This record gives sequence, C-alpha cells and structure tokens, in this order.
Amino acid sequence: MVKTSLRNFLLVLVATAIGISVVAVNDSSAAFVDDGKVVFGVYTDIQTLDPHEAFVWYSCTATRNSHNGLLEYDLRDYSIKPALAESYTIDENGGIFKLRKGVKFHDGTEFNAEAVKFNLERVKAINKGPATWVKDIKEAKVIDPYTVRLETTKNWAFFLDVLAAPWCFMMTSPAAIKKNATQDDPWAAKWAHDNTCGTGAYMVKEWVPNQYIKMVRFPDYWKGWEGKHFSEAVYQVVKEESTLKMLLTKGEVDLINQISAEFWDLLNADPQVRAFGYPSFAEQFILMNNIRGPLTDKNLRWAVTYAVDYEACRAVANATDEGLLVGKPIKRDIEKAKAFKAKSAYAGKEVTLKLAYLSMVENHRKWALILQDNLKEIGIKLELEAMTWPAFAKQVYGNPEEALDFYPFYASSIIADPYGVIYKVLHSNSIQPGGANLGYKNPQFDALLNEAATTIDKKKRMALYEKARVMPEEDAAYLWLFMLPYFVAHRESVKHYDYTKFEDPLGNMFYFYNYYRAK
Amino acid sequence: MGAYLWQRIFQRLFTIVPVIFLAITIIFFVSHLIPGDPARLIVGEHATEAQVAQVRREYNLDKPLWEQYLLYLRDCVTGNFGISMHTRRPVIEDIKQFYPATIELAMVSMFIVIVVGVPFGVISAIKKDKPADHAARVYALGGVAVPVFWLGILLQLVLYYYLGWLPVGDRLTYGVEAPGHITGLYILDSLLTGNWGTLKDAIYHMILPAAVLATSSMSSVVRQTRGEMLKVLKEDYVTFHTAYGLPKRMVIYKYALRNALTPTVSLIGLVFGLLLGGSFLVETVFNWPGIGAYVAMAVLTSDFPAIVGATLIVTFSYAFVNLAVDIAYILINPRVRI
Repeated sequence: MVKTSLRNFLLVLVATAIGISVVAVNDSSAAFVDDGKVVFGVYTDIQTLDPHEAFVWYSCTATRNSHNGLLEYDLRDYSIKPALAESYTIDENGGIFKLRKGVKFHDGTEFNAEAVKFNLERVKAINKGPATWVKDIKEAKVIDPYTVRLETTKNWAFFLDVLAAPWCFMMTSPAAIKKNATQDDPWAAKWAHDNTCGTGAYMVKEWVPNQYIKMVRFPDYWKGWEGKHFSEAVYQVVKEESTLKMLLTKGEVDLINQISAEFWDLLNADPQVRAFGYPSFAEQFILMNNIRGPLTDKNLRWAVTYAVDYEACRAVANATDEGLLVGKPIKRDIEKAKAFKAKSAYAGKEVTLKLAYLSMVENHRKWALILQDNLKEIGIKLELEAMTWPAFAKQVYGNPEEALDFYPFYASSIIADPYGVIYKVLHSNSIQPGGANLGYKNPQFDALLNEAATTIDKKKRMALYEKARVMPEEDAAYLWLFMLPYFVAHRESVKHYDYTKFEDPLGNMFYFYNYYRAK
Repeated sequence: MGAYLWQRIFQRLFTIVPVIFLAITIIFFVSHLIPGDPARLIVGEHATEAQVAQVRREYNLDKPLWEQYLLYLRDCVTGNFGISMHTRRPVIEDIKQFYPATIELAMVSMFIVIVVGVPFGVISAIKKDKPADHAARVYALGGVAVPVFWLGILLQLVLYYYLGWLPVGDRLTYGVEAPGHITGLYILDSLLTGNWGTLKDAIYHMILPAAVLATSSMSSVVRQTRGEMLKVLKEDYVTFHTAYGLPKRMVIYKYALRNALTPTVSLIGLVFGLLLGGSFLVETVFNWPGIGAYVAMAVLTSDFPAIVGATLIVTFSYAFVNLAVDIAYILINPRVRI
C-alpha cells in the first residue's frame, strides 16, 4: 500500500513534467512587447507589502511579484533552481551561494552579499511569520561582494526549500530600508508596510486599501523583458463572489484563484473563460482529539473512521481521493464501524461528542452535518458548534486538552514537501499550543520524522514519510478527506509561457511575469 | 427660539461626553469577551511562543484587562486608537481611509430617501386608495421585504452585465485619478477642485449602491410620511384652512406636511445614523471600500483596536446626527421643546 502511494506520487511528478507543453513564444531575440494590463481579482486585500512580515498567500502574491529570493521553485516539478544566487554548494552546516551580478533593486542600488546579510538580520529582527522558517539560518558571512555563506544551526533537509519558497527569505533593498528607518523604527517596518523595493519584475506603484494594488514593470528586472509581457499588473479586491464572476466573464478581470465549486460549470459555459481545480499540497482533515475524552479509545476512533462517508465529504468540495502524497484513503464500511464500536469501551452505549467548525466556511457546515448523520448510525450523537475564526483558531492552535472532539482542518505546506503537513498534524512537538496536532503521540513516528528532517536526499526522505505515516493511519489518529483542490479561472486570452495549466500546488499564486495575452 | 436653540446645542454637546465614555467602556469590554487569541492569529501558524509573546506585548495583551482599559483610555484622549491587528496600520489612518466612503454613500442615499421618499408618502396620502397610493404601498412593502444584497446583485446583473449602463462597483473606474484629498468625499472633493471628469465618474459609480441602500430606508420613510399625513389631514385646522379656501397645495405642504414631518425627521435621523455605521452587505456587493466591511473584518479577526476605534467614531457620528435631528425639530416646528 505504501509503495503504491509513493509510486503514485512519483508518477504524478513525472506525468506532470511530461504533460507540460512548452509554449514556444518567448523569442529571446525579440524586444519587449507590451501586452498592457492584467487584472487579478481577489476577495481579500493584502495585510502588508513587507516581504519579511507577509506570510499568508494573498499578501505573498503581491510581495512575490515584487521580490525575489536566492533560489526559486520550478513550478513544473518543484525542483529548486537558481534565482538571485547563480549557483550554490551545500554542506552539513549551511552553504555557499554565488550571487548573480548586475541585479538591481527598484531604487537602482545593486544586489550583493551585504544585501543578503542585511536581509537575514532584518527578517530576524522583524520576527514575524517568515522568521519562524529562517530561524535555523544562524548567520550570513560575506566572503566577497558576490559570494555569501549561510550558516545553519543543524544539518537541515529543508534549507534550500526555505530559500526557494516564495515567502520565507525575500530580498529587499538595504538602502531603501536605511533611508526610511527612524530611531523608533530602525528596520523601517512602517515604511515597508506600504512600500516595496525588491528586485522583482513589478514595482508597486500604488496601494489603495480594500480597492487595488497597481504594479508596473521594473525595466531593469534581471530576467529581462524580451517577448510579450504585461507592463501593468493589478491586484483588484472584489469582495463578492458573484461580482467577481461577472467581472471575469465581462473581461474586466483576467485571473481568479478563489471561487466556489458551484460556479465552475457556469464559468466554463463561457467560451472565453476557463475554470478548473487541481490538487494542491494542502490536505483536508477532520482531526480527532486523541488526548482527551471518548476518542482516546482507539476502537472508537476506528469506528468513527469507518462510519464516515468520505465520498459525500469530497463531493461537497468537488474533490476526489487523488493526489495523496503519502498514505492511503479509507473507504466507508458501516459494518466494520459497528464492529469496532462493539469492541470499544462504549459498546452498546450512546456517546455524545462535539465538533467545532468555522461558521463562515459553508463546506465546514456541510461536513459537520454529514458526520452528524453518519455517526448517528453507530450510536454516536454529534453536537455541532459553529465558531468565528478567533474562537476556531483557539481550538486549532490552543491547548488540545481544552479542544473539542473534532474539527475540520486543512494543513498547507510552507515548502514543497509533505513534511510541513505531516509535522504540523502528527508530530508530538505540535501538540503544544501553536501546533495543530490534536494529541497524537508516537515516539517511533517522531523518530522517523526527525530523521526525515535531516535527510537531504528527497527519495530517501519520501520513503521515511511513507514508513512513518502508516503508524497514525493504524492508530486511526485522524479523518483524511482529500488533497485540497486549488481553483483557477482565467480569460482564455491570458496564457502562461511554460504551462498548459496555471498550476501552483504550493501557493496557488500568480507570477505575472510569466503571462502574456494571446491575440 | 435662537437662545433656546443654542442652549439646546450646548446641552447636547455636554451629554455627548458621558455617552462616548460609556460607549468606549462597553465596546472595550464586550470586544474583549470575544473568544480567541488574536496574537496567535497575527503571527500565524508555526510561530513560536516567543513570537506570540512579543505580539502580546506590542498590543498590551499581556497586561490585565483593567490595565489595558486604562491604557486605551489614555491613548483615546490623545487620538491614538492603536494599530489594527489585521491591516497592521494605525486605526485612525484606516478610519480616515474608509469612513469618508461610507459617509458619502450614506449622504447620497439619504438625499434620495428624502427627495423621493417624502413626496411619495405625501402623494400616497392625498391619493389614498387610488392607483398611486397602491403603487407606493406595494413599493413600501417590497422595499422592506427585499434583501438589499439580492436587490444589489439583481441590479448589477441587469444594469451592468446585460445592459452595460452602470459600473458594477468601486468608487471610481480603475485609472481615473482620485480627487485631491480635502474631505475624502469624492463627489464633494471633485467639485471643490473642479475635477469634472472625476466628478462624473464618481457620480456614475454612486448611482447603484446609493439607490440600493436607499431602497429599504425609503420604504420606511414613505410609510411613515403617509401614515402621519393621513392623520394630520383629518385634523380640524386642515379642514378649517381648506374651508377657508386656501389653495390645496398650500394646505398640504405648508400646514399639513410641516406637522406630519416631525416623526419622519426622527426616523430619517435614526436611519442616517444606522447608515453611517456602514452597510456591510451593500459595501460588499458593490465593492465599496467603507467602514462596514472594515468593522466586519475586524470582528471576524478579533481586531480589538479596530473594533473599538471604528465603533467609537460611529458613535460620535450617531450622537451628532441626533443633535442635528433635535435642531431640525426646532426649526420645523418652533413650538417643540425637547
């Protein structure tokens, strides 16, 4: 079973790579052809433009287009490729990075090794979301103006992934930060909240909160501007789903990456629009409390596991059971569920359990009702508690001893590796407040995951994940629903240079530089 | 009347102080009763306890509630409402950014409500049980019954999507430069700066949201005016003036309406105060960057400084609208002593 899943994952990667048809329109000898404006419609305004503070995807979509890191992911297969660093060598305590020469920040100053050192110091000083992932980079040592050594605190499997992820370690101009620093604000956090000065393809020209962000082409972008590109990219906030749909079909918005599944057919009925979903790196669970209450009984957890109608839950989100990176989906079997209940300490008794869900997420409510109905069949009464986000976040990231018996939870990964999700949901270090582990504790599992975190070789690491994930599955630690489908809708006229699809299973973001408008 | 009016205004201004103080106190403690940990929300997942503790310190969340309250009172006096946990900007800056949009929308809606709603109510009363009255009553009933978000989406579909006559939302077309910031009200600022292109675009964008927002309020005003007019039209002095041979128009508008308007003015003040609180649904449907959507987001994310700051400003506005209503009472009917 485990081998099959690993093979499936590798097959998915290979198939993805093969399935990608390169659209050969980028003629490097051609001059820049201005394709005008591209408009990305989004529900929520960004929180900040500071790349050392932004950590949620909707903020990072803006910062990623205006900033770069030392490395970047190749979105075709999530291999790591050079960006601001031209080449690198790594060892057990870090790595040496040869920097690209001639790269300029938007203020015209040069990117160099001192800038890397400055940015590392700034991320740590700002100490927000990105700092959590950069904490294991101890320091940056300048070897020469274009060579820098990054020292890590340990042998770290995800060192390069953190440098490539579009939200952990982005470069911003030291000169601009110093110019706008004050005595009270030495890292110019106030200035960087509303302004950018990165090395990215687009410069933020104007941000009108809750309305739009206007970005314009940075003429000295280090990748060059040969061929067709948009000279202007607009991040348009549209809070109402039906309004967003109208704007897309009327051609006033070009790209969307969030819309309910019920709109897909309507959008696809328009020949000018294409809408589709694809499995992401994020997994959707309904977590069970392994540390408190009746669900500490393993047989009862198995009874629940077999009682749930997973197909019905997937249908709610237009999802399938495909895409699971490691592990195997369970199928509903009510007889087995009853048998496990009979083996549990609650045989012949009615059990009352509680499920917390987020009131603003309609799918949560539907899953809650499905579970309530399913569990009734095996004598479990499920009480539902709708919560606002702060209260729900307390359930998820608070003390599991105080959490209810179930809650829906999707775990996305910060890096293109299953570790992010598995660690967050199952490693015993994540049981404490701040983690999302609802009390699953298995020292053998922890040991395998710890080993994976120091295993640089990706194939060996995947094998360790496979071996590890069998354990919580056998312990019925959680209910796995599906790999969360990410959604994209776009005008047919907007094309991507490299991909037949617009997929980014990690961030579901758009890099406007990669798009053009077909005539 | 002049002396009484000024006395009344000063009295009202003094009573606003304890009202605001009470509002701060209630809003502060109620908003802090919302369950959840906003510090955890700010730093996001994977954050260490040290990072969470740092945010708690930044927002004084590590202090006892009473101390947080006293610190907040001190800051309020200096006009500092703190930093929003969601937008990460000073709350006062957010209010300056979003509140003018709500005020502008509320004022235009109220204008529509008054110039259309009151005459409709009068016509409905003087044409009682005639087709005009039935039409007004059907409208009044429908306006209250139809949800504003549904009406908004329906009008967007017809007037934007199918006919292309009006924009779907926003305050201005993307690319049209906002007028220089004087009041933050685009229509007024465009007029003051003589920016006619922006003025036209701002009005063009205002029509749909203002009309939708006005609909339900207008229904209440039509019903109220009609009811009061019917009552007043039966009064002896109206019969007397009619018997005296005064022109019908003069009897209705000079004598009857003036007396019938008092409760309507009260209702208009109430409705205007509510509109100033921001209509979350209309602002969402029409992508209107107002205070309603801002407060809704603040509540959803337990953004205490934003909730308290924005509510405080709305309370201020409400108090001043009430004052304006009192003045209007005295001006409409000098015999009134409130």
